[in-house]
Amino acid sequence: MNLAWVPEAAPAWDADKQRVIGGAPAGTFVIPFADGDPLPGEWWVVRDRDAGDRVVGYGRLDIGWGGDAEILLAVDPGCQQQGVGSFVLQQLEEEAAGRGINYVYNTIREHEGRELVHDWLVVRGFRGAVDGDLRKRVGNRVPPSRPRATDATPYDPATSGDLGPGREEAGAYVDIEDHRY
Amino acid sequence: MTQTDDRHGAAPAPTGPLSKIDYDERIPNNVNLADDRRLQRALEGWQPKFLDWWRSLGPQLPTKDVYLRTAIAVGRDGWAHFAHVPMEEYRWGIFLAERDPDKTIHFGKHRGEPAWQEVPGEHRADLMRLIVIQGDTEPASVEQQRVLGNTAPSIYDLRNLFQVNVEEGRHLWAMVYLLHAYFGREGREEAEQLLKRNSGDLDAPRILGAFNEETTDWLQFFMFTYFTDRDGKYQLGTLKESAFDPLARTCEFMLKEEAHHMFVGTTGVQRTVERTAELIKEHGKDKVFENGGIPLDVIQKYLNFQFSVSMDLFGSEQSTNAGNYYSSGLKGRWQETRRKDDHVLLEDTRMMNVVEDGEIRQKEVPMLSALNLDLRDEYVADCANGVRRWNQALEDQGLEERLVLPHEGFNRRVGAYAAHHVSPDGRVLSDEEWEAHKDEWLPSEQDRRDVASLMVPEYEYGRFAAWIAPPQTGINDQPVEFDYVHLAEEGLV
Repeated sequence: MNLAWVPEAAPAWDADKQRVIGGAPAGTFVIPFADGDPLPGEWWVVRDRDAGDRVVGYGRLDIGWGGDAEILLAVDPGCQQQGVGSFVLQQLEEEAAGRGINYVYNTIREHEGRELVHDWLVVRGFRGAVDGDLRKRVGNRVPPSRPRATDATPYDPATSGDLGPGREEAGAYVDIEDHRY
Repeated sequence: MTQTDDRHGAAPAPTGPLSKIDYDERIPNNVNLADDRRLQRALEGWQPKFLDWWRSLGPQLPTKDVYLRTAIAVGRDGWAHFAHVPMEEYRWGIFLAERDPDKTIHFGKHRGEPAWQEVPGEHRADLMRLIVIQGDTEPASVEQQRVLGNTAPSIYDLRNLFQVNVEEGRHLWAMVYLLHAYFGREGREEAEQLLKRNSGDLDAPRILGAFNEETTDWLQFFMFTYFTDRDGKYQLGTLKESAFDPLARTCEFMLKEEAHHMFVGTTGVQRTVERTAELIKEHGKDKVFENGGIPLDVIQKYLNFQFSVSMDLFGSEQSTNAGNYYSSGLKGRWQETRRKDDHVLLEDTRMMNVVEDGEIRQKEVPMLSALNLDLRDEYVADCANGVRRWNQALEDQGLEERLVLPHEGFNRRVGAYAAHHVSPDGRVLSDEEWEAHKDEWLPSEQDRRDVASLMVPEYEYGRFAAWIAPPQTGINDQPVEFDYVHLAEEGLV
């Protein structure tokens, strides 16, 4: 196979996705889409150049708070065990790293191949329980400057006063409705 | 805690319901920890690991004690006790806001049902993920800021840094409590990981990208506290709406603590701008640096950088997960109960910006898929308030220069603009144009070196470094020159 990784500018549900993603064992994915529905997240299609650009897989990144990125990968049921999944995973990890993301995660829904998928991801560096998040470190490893630890000093008790409803300036706790800064 | 001297302000009478916080326990709390011996033992087992982390990766400057606030009640406005405390003996505790027994879920498919007091099995993985990410940010900023004390512009600012640091540590406790109390063995393992991942660590960095870069100078600290902590505030605001009531109540009290953190960032930048404005007026805008201040264009570059990397923290504009979290009731919108819609959003749409053919255009998208963007828009509007405040300082000095927020597409690595270069005023640029001008918009190495050269510590009570103006008032009605921090002898050396 000669695989190509192609970004989708306007990802939408279509016949190829129905064939590849919809062809996974029942329960693997939640698919609430109809033909033509736009898809959130960033999508890439994998084409086999040796087979007339036939679509053989998909990858998706869904980047949430702080760059915690969920990956989705799907392989044409007729092209399993030929390295397409590993290719998609590697590409997704590179895409995530290129966006400054440190970890990607995947959650495996309950289905007949759940343990197999879990083991497949663990072999490729993911860590986590079969029924939880599987997470993997991606991205660059530029050495930072790390300060050395120091010891703290002994305790010398001292005290002061209380402060009630009030002002941020004075260091008070303030209900969110009353935040001024 | 005891009260010893007359250096404290009068405390008005508490209002509203007040949960008692038990300070006789090894772990202060208002969650009746003593009634659950197993949970208590588990958290007491985690406590020494937390203290080890604090000693090795917490503030580096040796101090004897610091004038810190500690929560003594969690009523509508919260109550603080102020005292000089050795930081490692700070009473990190577990404080949840008052429980409303009649609370119902405000949004999503469970709208109107009673709030959850336990974790529903179907949402266990998602809830744990949200709590782990929130928890990961808290110690991260402490690690990033650990060397800052060495260059504090005043004892007042040093105290505020340490207050923020100990409370980020307390927020870690808040998330660890939820993991231990509601997520069993996996929760305990995740709690361990929160201390094993470290900011900037090669193999196990913190999850969020912006929390892995060392905070090198105080202008960056103030910008971080203003822009990046504010992102945290907005994320907490969405978790405060959660159908999982213990998480919502935890975040509600954390938000009360965040008020002072926001103040530190806002006024830190403002005082920097005030001093710069004075120097511009006295010496002209080209002579600010040589007279000990930070030039306004450098402040603008720092603003551009911190705003843009903080925008990335919101994730992609469109996200399936964000929609699922909302529909499931795990994470609401900012000020959810004030929104005038059906709180389900299945039929709603909104516009979002995309880059097409070298232009920024708009397209209509389902609202449910664009909730990251919805939150980001609220955040941007709030960020603009601070900029207006800072510009007032310039106007007060009769200056025409102004600071501005850059365009939402500027310097972005995540989302709709990630593959494009956009100028601060919103023009789509070629790679060549970007390379030619980026040092005009983002801090260069030389800018950072120049700012770093101004960062000399000022540890004399009541005195301030030349690049920053003093505050209007002190903490807890104490004078500005109050002895907020007692340095250890080795710290003074």
